[in-house]
Amino acid sequence: MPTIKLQSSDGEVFDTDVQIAKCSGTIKTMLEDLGMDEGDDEVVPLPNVNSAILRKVLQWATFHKDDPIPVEDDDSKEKRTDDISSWDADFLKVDQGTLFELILAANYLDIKGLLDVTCKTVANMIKGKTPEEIRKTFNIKNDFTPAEEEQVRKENEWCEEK
Amino acid sequence: MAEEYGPVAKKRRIEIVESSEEEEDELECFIDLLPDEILIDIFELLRFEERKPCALVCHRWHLILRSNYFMSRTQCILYHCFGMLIEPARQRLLSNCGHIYFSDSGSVPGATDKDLVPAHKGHDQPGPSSAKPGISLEDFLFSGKLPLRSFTVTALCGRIITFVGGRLEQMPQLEELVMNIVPPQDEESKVKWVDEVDPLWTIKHPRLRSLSVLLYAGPMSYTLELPQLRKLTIEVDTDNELNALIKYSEQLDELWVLFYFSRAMEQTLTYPFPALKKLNMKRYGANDPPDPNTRVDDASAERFVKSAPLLEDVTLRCNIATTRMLRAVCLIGHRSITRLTLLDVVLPRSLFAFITELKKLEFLKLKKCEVEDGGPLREVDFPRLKQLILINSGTCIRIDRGLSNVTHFKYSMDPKLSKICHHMVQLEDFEIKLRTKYPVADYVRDHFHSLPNLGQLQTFRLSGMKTVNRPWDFCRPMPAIEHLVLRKCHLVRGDFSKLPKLFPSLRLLELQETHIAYKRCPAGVDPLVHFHGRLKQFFPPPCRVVVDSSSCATPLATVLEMEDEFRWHLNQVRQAGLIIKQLHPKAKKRREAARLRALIGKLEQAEQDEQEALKKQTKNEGDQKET
Repeated sequence: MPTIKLQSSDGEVFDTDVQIAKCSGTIKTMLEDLGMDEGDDEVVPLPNVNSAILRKVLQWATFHKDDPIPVEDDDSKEKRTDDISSWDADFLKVDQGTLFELILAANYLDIKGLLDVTCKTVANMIKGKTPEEIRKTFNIKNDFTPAEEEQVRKENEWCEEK
Repeated sequence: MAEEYGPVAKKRRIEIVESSEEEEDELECFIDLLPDEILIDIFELLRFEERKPCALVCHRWHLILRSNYFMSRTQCILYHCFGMLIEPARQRLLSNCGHIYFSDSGSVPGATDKDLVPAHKGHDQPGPSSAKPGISLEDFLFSGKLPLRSFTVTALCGRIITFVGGRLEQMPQLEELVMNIVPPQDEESKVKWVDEVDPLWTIKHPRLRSLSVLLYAGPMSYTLELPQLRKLTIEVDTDNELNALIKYSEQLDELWVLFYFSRAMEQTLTYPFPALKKLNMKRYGANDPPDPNTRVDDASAERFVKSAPLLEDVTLRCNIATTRMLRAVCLIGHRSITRLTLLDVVLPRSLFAFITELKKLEFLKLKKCEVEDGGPLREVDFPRLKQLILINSGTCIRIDRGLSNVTHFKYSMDPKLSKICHHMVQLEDFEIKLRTKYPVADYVRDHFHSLPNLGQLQTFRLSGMKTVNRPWDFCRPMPAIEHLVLRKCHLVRGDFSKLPKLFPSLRLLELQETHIAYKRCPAGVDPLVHFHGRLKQFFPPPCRVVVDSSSCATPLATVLEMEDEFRWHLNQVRQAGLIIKQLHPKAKKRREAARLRALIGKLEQAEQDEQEALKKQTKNEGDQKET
């Protein structure tokens, strides 16, 4: 099976099945644009992803390599967040640092499936919480003055769905 | 699940942080690493109501959620006043928003908020202006910079003409305009805003696709210059509206029309509507069945339906419009019509039976419909019918195997529930409205146990449940149901523990406009937050419990008071003072006001009677004691 070499930001090189690496739109375009041939000994540098995260990403991509290409969702349809597979749910039982770095990596590497499932995980962490609970969950600092907070509360009352 | 992240994140951080660094008090905020686009993607996964708390988290999230991306799909409610300065905070909120619902308090004497400051001197105030610098509401709305796509205004017609006037084109993106014209409440505003205003108004806009003029206050004169108009909602009170209809009939794809006089309806039937897809028609007035001796010209109704070969969705309200139109709609329109709604109709069976011609029907709604002779239609054959709504219309269609392919059904509770569970086994989404004119507690007790027969049922909705007719004790477990919605219900706190047993596979529990009735609540907590939390404990993840903003937690005693509707209503009316005088978007014209006045009269009379009876009773008791 043809492989290519991916190099993480901290210099570690991963020998990867080409098919798996091509889950990433970014790597796929790189290979095509740069005309890299399989079997070349050239190394693809990924300066935005460290080795720990790249290892996780490749683990995810390996498990999902045979997934059908997702069809574009109908915009009108309400987006679900409760359809995360149990493998993915287990895979994403990680600390927040890893979770958000995975999102950034999925975004940079253009892996739609991974980006979707990580964003859904974050959305589920927000759902049903009060603002204070959300801040606590993500260690966000409340930078509103009480007056500003009151104003935003009022704004919320003035808004409804259209 | 989320609670796990805190401590784990801390541990990891300690591992990776350079050892020489001083320990900070605060934990690192990883979510802040995400760029705005990804935060947008995440917020996009939330429902509208779930985004509201996010706006309160921090400045950055607030800014993202108030950006045009989200605000273009948001409607802002604006209770304000023409001619007054608009506050900077409001300006910021409105500047990105796509839809505004504006109610003009200046149209109601004494209703304007004292904090509002006039933008310029009034027409009747000579001398130097006391106004402060700033921008008036109307100058802001018509600055040409707002990305507004729809605008709803509720005001006196004279105030709309004066303050909107020829400036409509200064909302360049506008596609939809709704005007609710309210009546003057006193002589002064009648003189100033009705009698003294130039009655001729041209409503002009190059892009506007949808115009709705609801006259709660008698006629208003206008001409239309709307080349892109496709949808028109209009009450035909004078020739003025008839002119609008004839001018635009050929380009409209949606028409909502209410006729105040028969000639207008007859006239309209002679116009061609070649592009019309959606029709909603009502003839205003007493809802008597038409005089059987009047000769009805079927030919003109047929000609009308023939002129509209694309007609898909028809709503007929009240007897006059329905008896006039239904035969033609069914016989000619059956080639294209997929949706039919009949409201407030009493029909002979022979006429109602024409609906069976509509073989393409996918949606049928009958509300307050009655077949007056011959019994309901049996074994109807609508091969494509998926969605059926029967509200207080038990005499129209028999529940039998003719309805077996329906998947979405909403109906008002009656003794036929067992039959539904026997014949309509394809149901996926079923709503039972318990708030009907009948006492339903008996029906609930006798029939709710058959619900588990509906093996395909995923979404179950209950509306109007009260403490007296709560069905939980009469249900068997329904493992197929994944989604339970309680709308306008009274959910008793003590019943929480019963629900998980009845709905073991629930993934989503929604409370909409629902009261959680409780006996005790710990001090110092928001009752709704508290009981929402309790409910979540009974339905732990992956099930979600969503409580909308119109729901609340209410002491059981108050809920019981509310259920004694008669007295509750009276108190509400008393407390609100003169409810009639307020601008109420749903208050339908003078008739509604008259209805409310009559209701108040009736309620007061009843209370008086009751008090007298009470007096008598105490007197009697006193007498008895004496004797």
